[in-house]
Amino acid sequence: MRWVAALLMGMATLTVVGCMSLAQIAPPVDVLDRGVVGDSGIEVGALVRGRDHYLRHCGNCHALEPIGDYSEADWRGILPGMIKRCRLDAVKAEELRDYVMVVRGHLDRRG
Amino acid sequence: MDRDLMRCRRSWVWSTVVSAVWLCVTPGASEAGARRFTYSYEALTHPRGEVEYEQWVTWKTSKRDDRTYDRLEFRHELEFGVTDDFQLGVYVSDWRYTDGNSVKDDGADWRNVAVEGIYNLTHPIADPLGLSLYGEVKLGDELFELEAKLLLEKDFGPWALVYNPTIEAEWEGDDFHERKGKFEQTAGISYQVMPQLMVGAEVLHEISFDEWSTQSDHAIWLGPNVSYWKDNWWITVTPLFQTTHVDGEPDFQLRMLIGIEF
Repeated sequence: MRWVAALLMGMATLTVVGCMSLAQIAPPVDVLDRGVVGDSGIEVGALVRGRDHYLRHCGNCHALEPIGDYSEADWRGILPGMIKRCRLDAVKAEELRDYVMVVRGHLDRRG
Repeated sequence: MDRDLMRCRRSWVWSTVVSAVWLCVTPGASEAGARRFTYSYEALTHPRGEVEYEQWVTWKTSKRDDRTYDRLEFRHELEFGVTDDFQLGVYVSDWRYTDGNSVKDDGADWRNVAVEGIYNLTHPIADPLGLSLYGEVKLGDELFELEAKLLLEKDFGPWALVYNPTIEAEWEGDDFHERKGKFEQTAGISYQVMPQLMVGAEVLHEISFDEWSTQSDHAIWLGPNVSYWKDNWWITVTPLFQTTHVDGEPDFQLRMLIGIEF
């Protein structure tokens, strides 16, 4: 049973570390630049749901990619294929796209 | 023996025909994400509407009390994403071929059909720990089996960790009078080397209880795994080596899964 305990400890450690790095991979909506969020005209609730879709669907076949690793143009090319692959409905797809673009805008503004 | 072989052949032909028809009539292939492990399950289920065919092959060989022992087990399975959180699997046919000095009836025999359901409760990335409930019912000529598992998973960047405790209740024989219980644990770790290639390791621990009373020796196997996917198919292979010295268990086993998604 010792290896089971070690495994569960490992999972717990990774959970803590994982939560910290998730904020860098897909920043929570409340840390985004308010100007960028306001200018987007998208309601905060939709962005929060968009982040949830990102976390729940974009790491299922491969490791979750940090949004900052790709430009806005890259994401416009990547997202349609990935959305189709995840079989997201139109509403979820829209929320996911909006969230990624707002994060990209936030990162661009921060330089 | 001949009857068994005939039945086995019939089952093989039938499941192959079903699979082939399915491949032909299902439109528009989606892209796949591979199963990273073969003895362990991950917590995530197929999205709603997704269908996958899985071919299982498990080779068990060389028991300490019979070095000539060989068994090949085959499973033909169809999995359906019923909702985004619930997946149903149908084992169209499980059959096996056994050979060795200690085997009474060498040859092939058909084993069972089965249904499995997996319900996902929490996500391995979005939630602190991914958790799914697994239930399975198997039915054969002289076999009835119930199985329940917890599927625990945590993903951290390119790493995935899984742990599956399992309990099985089995009734075998002419009138299902031979009862057996089994407790099994599997765990695995996997690292994504590149988006389509994952490598890692798995461990399997088994204890069985004849008549739910006589406990067998603990048997543990350990080994590496590798998984690769491309477009709408994937393959995962795990060779496991016994690290304990249990006479009646194979020293080596290898499982290969091939999946095709639609």
